[in-house]
Amino acid sequence: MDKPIFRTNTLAVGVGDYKISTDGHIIETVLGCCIGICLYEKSKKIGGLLHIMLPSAPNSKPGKPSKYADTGLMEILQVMENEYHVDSKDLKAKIFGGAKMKSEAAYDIGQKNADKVRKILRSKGIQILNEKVGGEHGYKIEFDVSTGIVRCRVFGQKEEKF
Amino acid sequence: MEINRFIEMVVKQSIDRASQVLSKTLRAGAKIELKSLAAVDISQVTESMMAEGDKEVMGCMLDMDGDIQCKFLFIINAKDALIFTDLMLRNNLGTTKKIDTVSESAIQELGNILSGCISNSFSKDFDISVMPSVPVVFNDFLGGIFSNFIFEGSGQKDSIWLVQAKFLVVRVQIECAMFLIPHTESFFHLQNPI
Repeated sequence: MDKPIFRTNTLAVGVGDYKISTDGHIIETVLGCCIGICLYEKSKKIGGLLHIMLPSAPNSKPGKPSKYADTGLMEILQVMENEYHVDSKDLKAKIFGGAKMKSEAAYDIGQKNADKVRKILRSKGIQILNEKVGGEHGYKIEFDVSTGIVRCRVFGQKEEKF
Repeated sequence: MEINRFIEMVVKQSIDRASQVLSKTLRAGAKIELKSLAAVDISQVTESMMAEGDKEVMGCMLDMDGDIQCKFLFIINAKDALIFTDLMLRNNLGTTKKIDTVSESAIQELGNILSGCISNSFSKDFDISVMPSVPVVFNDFLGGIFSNFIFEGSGQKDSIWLVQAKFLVVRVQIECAMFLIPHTESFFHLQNPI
């Protein structure tokens, strides 16, 4: 699937989607029980942010692959390799989100999402440099592709840089 | 009748009733207007919220289940939630200074009132039986609450029908948002839709 390069400074990522930048954008999203995975190739300054909802794609009618940790990570890594010539072994990851939201349906999905993401990244040989997951509130993250730094603010807390 | 027109008719009637009940409850003119009813892509609609995604809001979310299924979300700016609490409790405006269990209860009660109006309208006007769940109250980033609402209401689909309504309390100029995700399959199963 072709992912267009956007020419604005900030790229927002919705649920079950990802954006890749080679132009020093700030890629941002807000997370509840979902996980945001920031992937960065430092020497080429290429970064991608994937916002996944669930750990694993179902066997039937999965829809968009980027909704799930397993198929979503596979897709973004393939696009980064095929279109941007980034070897996954050169990527570093930072993961955020996975909050335990109040409603029953989303209550423990955050932890499951985080566990699945870690497992897949490890299996691909991608080092997780930083992670901030869990809690009971939302996360606002801004991934600066020009530096690889992620600014993260959890609701009710001070902003941190990773 | 096309299912989206039927949903639109049901929702318009429900929010008309909700406006009237809310105005009486708050003793302030409350107007609820339907802003849109459309099929939306879950990624695009949540992406469009991200510009204001870190705005602090209060919200309540609940499910409606019975002859049809829907998911309901009400969102109010955190500062306006304090004014709203005063209106609900008949306090002088400015009495409530911070978000606490009292304001959470007020927002939860609003969720009960709005969902009660909607389910009553479904029942009286369209003979559709539906029961709302207990509202779950949030105080969090707008983007996080809305993303969770879409996640839970989508049933893993890529696109959903989304009803968006604007809610205005005229006297104090509070504007809030109401969202409904009707599970369209449940509407197809209704017998004798109008």
